[in-house]
Amino acid sequence: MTNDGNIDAILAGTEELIEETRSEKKPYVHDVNGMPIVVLPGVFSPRYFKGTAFYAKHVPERVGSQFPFLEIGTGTGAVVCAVKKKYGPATGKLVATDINREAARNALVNGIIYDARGFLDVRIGHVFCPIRYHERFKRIFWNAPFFDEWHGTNDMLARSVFDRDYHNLELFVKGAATHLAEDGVLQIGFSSNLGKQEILERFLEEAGFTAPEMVAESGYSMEKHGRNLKYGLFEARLK
Amino acid sequence: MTETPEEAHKALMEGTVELAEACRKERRPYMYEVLGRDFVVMPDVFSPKYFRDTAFFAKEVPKHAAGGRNKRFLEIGTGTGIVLCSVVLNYPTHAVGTDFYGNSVTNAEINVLLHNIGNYADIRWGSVYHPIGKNEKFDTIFWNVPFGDWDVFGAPPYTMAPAVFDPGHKNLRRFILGAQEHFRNEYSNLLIGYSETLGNRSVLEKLAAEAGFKHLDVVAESGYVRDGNPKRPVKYELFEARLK
Repeated sequence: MTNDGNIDAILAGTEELIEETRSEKKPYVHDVNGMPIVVLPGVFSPRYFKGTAFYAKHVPERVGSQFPFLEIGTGTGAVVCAVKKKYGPATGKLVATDINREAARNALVNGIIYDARGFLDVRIGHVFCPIRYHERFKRIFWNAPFFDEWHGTNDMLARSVFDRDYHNLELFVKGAATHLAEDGVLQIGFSSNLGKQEILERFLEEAGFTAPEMVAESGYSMEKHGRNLKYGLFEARLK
Repeated sequence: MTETPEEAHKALMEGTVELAEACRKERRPYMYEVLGRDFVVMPDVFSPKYFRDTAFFAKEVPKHAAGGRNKRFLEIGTGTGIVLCSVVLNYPTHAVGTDFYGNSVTNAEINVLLHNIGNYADIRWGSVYHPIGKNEKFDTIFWNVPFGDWDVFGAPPYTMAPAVFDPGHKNLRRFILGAQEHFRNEYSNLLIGYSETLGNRSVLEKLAAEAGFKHLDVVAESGYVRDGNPKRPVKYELFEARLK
């Protein structure tokens, strides 16, 4: 692991962020790159995790009018709404999944606000479970949990951040090999300095993808206790 | 110098315009709490943050609406959908909300989703009874009517004008006279959200009599709400019209 700081302090800070997210008991509106986003309690929140704003800025640019677009683990739906906002009526089919029922509802709420009805299909389920076998996408994105350890309680919020042994990341990459169109691009939100890139590379190699290319990188995040954290957007294609 | 009733009325109408203008300045969706429940309010939608009657009707209408699994409730001019949500959250009633303004339809749909009552509520776009099928019947019909009794005022510069002013009582007339066609039976009731401070009771009485209602009673009344209008305190009433 490329570690620019003390990993224990960062993990403790992340747990604290999860705790703060959990302490929000009422819905609220948070600004993501100038877009008001409704956040429901119990949903991975852009107020505490700044990666959402980074991906909501860079993912739509990289979509390049290539639809259908699939987002795994959509949370509030901020990224998929940013895609809709960028392409307007020229947007193609959007599909978003989340294992958290509240997140799915949250994404629908924001989908209505950003006029994405008729474009957006929100489904509940784990990684590719709600995706039908024959469905193919030109772009598949996930802001993947990049801590491969398990901390905190086994709830939906912790699952957004921690992924023991990268089990879900592996499922994502393997599933993407099935559901990505031949000329499609897999987009992976992953920490460029704290995520174990060698493992990501191995999963991609095994599933028949090219080596990941980092197409955007954040500065050091100013999250609480997270000053040593950088977000990256990686892309890979089928060989 | 004593203020004439006309001057007082004009001041109240100007106060209503002021509120609508303040409401129109909100350019982003925001959360607002009514009776302990959180609701999304979209720009340009009749907002409980500025118009205090929403909270009053959200509290009173569920008490007077026929509630229950087999009951049907219709709200005209649903706006944010707060009253409709309050009725359904009080009793699992099948509810239909209509609004002429697209943003309000979107807003009400958001709040229906937010409160997980999508199986009970149906929001439709259109003026008064337009989006209601001829054969659709309801046990209770409600509208927080635009009671601003001001036929002529300087160019209404905003989409919200129809939510607060009804020149010539045209929509109020359509609402009261068209209600019976959508009543399930003679025990159905019509609830009218009104303010005698801003409106004119005799207009309601005349229209109710014309429509054949035998009873028109005030079933709930707010006290004087200090911030109901920037010019004067305002009182709100919930009227109930019945055939029997």
